[in-house]
This record gives sequence, C-alpha cells and structure tokens, in this order.
Amino acid sequence: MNAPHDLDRRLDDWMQQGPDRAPERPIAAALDHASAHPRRRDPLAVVRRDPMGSTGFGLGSAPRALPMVAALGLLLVAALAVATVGGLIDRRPVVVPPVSTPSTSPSPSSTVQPSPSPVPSASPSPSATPVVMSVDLKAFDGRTLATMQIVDESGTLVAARSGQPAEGGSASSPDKADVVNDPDDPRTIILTWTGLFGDDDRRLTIAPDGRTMTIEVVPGVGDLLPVDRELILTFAGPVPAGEVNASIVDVAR
Amino acid sequence: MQRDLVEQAAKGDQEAFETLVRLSGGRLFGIASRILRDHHLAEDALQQTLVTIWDELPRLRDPDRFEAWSYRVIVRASVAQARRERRGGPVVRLLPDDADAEGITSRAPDEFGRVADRDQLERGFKRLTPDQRAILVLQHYNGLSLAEIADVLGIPVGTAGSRLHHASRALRAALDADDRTNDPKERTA
Repeated sequence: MNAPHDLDRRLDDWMQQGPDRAPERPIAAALDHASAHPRRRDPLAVVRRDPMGSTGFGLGSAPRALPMVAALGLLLVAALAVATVGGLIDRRPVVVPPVSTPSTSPSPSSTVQPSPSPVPSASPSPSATPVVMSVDLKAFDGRTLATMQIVDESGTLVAARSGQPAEGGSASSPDKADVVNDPDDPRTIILTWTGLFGDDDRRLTIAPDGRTMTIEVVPGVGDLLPVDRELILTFAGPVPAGEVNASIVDVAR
Repeated sequence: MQRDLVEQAAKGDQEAFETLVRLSGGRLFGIASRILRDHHLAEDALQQTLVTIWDELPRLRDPDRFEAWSYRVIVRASVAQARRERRGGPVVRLLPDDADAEGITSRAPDEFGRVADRDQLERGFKRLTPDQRAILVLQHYNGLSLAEIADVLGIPVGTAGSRLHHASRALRAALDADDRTNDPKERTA
C-alpha cells in the first residue's frame, strides 16, 4: 500500500490542497515595516555576505571589495594604535578565556578563578561577582559555530570549553539541553543541544542557584542542517546532572 | 519582470516591493502553511519572511536568485517557528470543515476514502520534524528538483538526497504505524 511511488503520488495530491493565497495581515505589516524603514545607503554593502552563499570576498566581487577592506583594515589599525597609546584598552580581570582541556584535579583551574574562595564546593555564592567567559562552540567537523558568552552568576564555575559533538542533531528536546555528568569527574557536566548551522548561540547564563541555566540563541538565516553543540562546564564541586535545568530561548537578532 | 522588481525593491522602491510581495506572497504562504500545518503560525512566518526580504534584499547580489532565496527564508522562518512551538501544542487542522464525522459518514465510499487518506497523511506528516516536513514540501508542493532543493536549503545535493530519503522513510513509517493503530486485528492481537 505504501510503495514509494504510491506515497509520492499521495503526497503530490495532498500538497496541492490547502491555501495558496497570502492573507493580507502579514503583507500589510511588511509594507508598514518597509515604510518605517526606508532604504539607506549602506557603505559596507559591498563587503556584506550574500545571503545565497557567495561572500563579498568572492572572486567576482574582489575588485570592488578590496578597497573597502583595505580602508577598514587601516581604520582598525588606527583605532588600535590610539587605544594602545592612550591606555584605553579594557583590562577587566574577570573576563578570562576558557580552559582548553578539562581538569580532573580537585583544584580549580589556574586560568579561571571566579571565586576568591578555593573551597571545592558547588554551593552557590550569590554575592559573587558574575564571571564572564567566552567559548568558541565547535561543530562536529571542527568549525566554529558561534562564540558563546558565559555569564556565571553563581560564582561556582571553574572552567568552560566546547566539546566535540557527533554529526547531526541528537538532542531530545528543542527547548532544553541534554545534561550528563562527565563519568570521570562529578564536578563536570556536559550540555548538548541541537541547533541549525546559522544559529548564533549568543549567551549561557548560570543563575545564582548554580543549577538553572539559560541558553540564548539568535535564530539565523542559514541552511537547515541540524547540528549538535556541546559545552563542557566544570564547577568547584560536584554537580548532579539531574539537578541542572538548561533551557533554550530564542532571542531577537 | 521579476528581476526588475527585485532590483528596484533592493534600491528602496516600496511600490516595487509591494508588487513583488503580492506576486510571491501566495507561494511563500503555501510553503509555510504546509510546513507548519497552522494558519496563524504560517501568517507569522510569512510576516517575518517579508520583513527579512525587505531588510536583506540589498545583500542579494544576483536578482535571478530571488525566488530560491525567498524560499530559503520562508523555510527557515517556518522551521524556527515550529521549533518555538512546544511539542504537542495545539495545531489547527487544514482539513476543510466538511471533514467532520457527520460529513464523512454521509459521503460516497470514494470520497470517504479520500478524506480518510488525507487525514492519515495529516497525522503522519505532523509526526515528522520541521526539517523533514520542509524538504517534503519543497519537493511535493513546489516541485523542486533535488539540486534546486539543495540550493534552497544551502546544503550539498548528496545531503539533500539523504535527507529527502530519510524524510520519506519517516513518513512511511508513521503511516504504517497509523495503519497498525487503526487495524482492529492489530488492536485485539
């Protein structure tokens, strides 16, 4: 009954039924948006990425793009020089890079010390200053999907790094990350969630209770290939994965 | 003609944009409503898509790629919309009103069979992931070739073929499961 060609024919017939006329409301809203946002000259248009794949740096557009790129480069160098000479570079001590490898040692990582107390406990310390880190989330093939900011309001996070997820999408829910403990280290949890290649995983916030986490994702306009993200978090003390609730919320671009 | 409209709209001509939107809006809404199976969600996806088209159109280098790009944007918006909806949330059926029980029982056997067939497809289709629905819609509603589907989705042709195969297989499995559920022999066995 469900031979391939029979199913194709049934789908063809079925798909031709249903609405083919656009309702007025979304059209009117889009026209209002266009009126409210008239086109302005964009000096960077030539170097912006083509939404259908070719970039501003492609062969065809290189002659047009190069002068603009050169000008931007010069501006960047000049800005850096001014900032350096003027001593304006931000030296906030709490912004630290992620640790590149997990540690099984009970001592906190030497590169990330969010709390002045090295006591090996994951008990939240609400008075701690939020620690901000950034982690390059890697896809299965090693490419960077997004640079995620991690805001730890619990004061218990010791280290964060990207894992190496498997190919495809495996998360059990679109609204939550799957959470498991590292079998070798009860202080370490592994968060896995599924998104699309174009998504921008912007921020992970760890609430003061050290158990509630929110992943903010900006949906992108890219291809539809689902890919897993894997984030490995190490805390000052044991964190049972079952107590962690890591929800995913879409945020506006 | 569409190329001219795209070029004019990209430059900021709002009349050209309106004409373009009215020309392509029906097709885009058709895609969204078939992926989402919900009129209101499809409206939202269409609105988001049209706004994106206005905002991003100047970045589209080749006006002849407008149709494929607009398909990509509506598919992307529809899949994102579907992901935002909680699993098992309320879904408005697209079946016509006459598919209620009274209507079905008063119909000829052929018509009853067609309604039942549509109903079964509806149930099976809803069990697919948004990505699987999208690729089936592009093939069976838009009639796109594998290469065109790959282009719209921004993936290699081989990947598109693999995903289409998996989507068809998943739908077939869902329909088979539905058959078993509705078979009295299976239920009493």
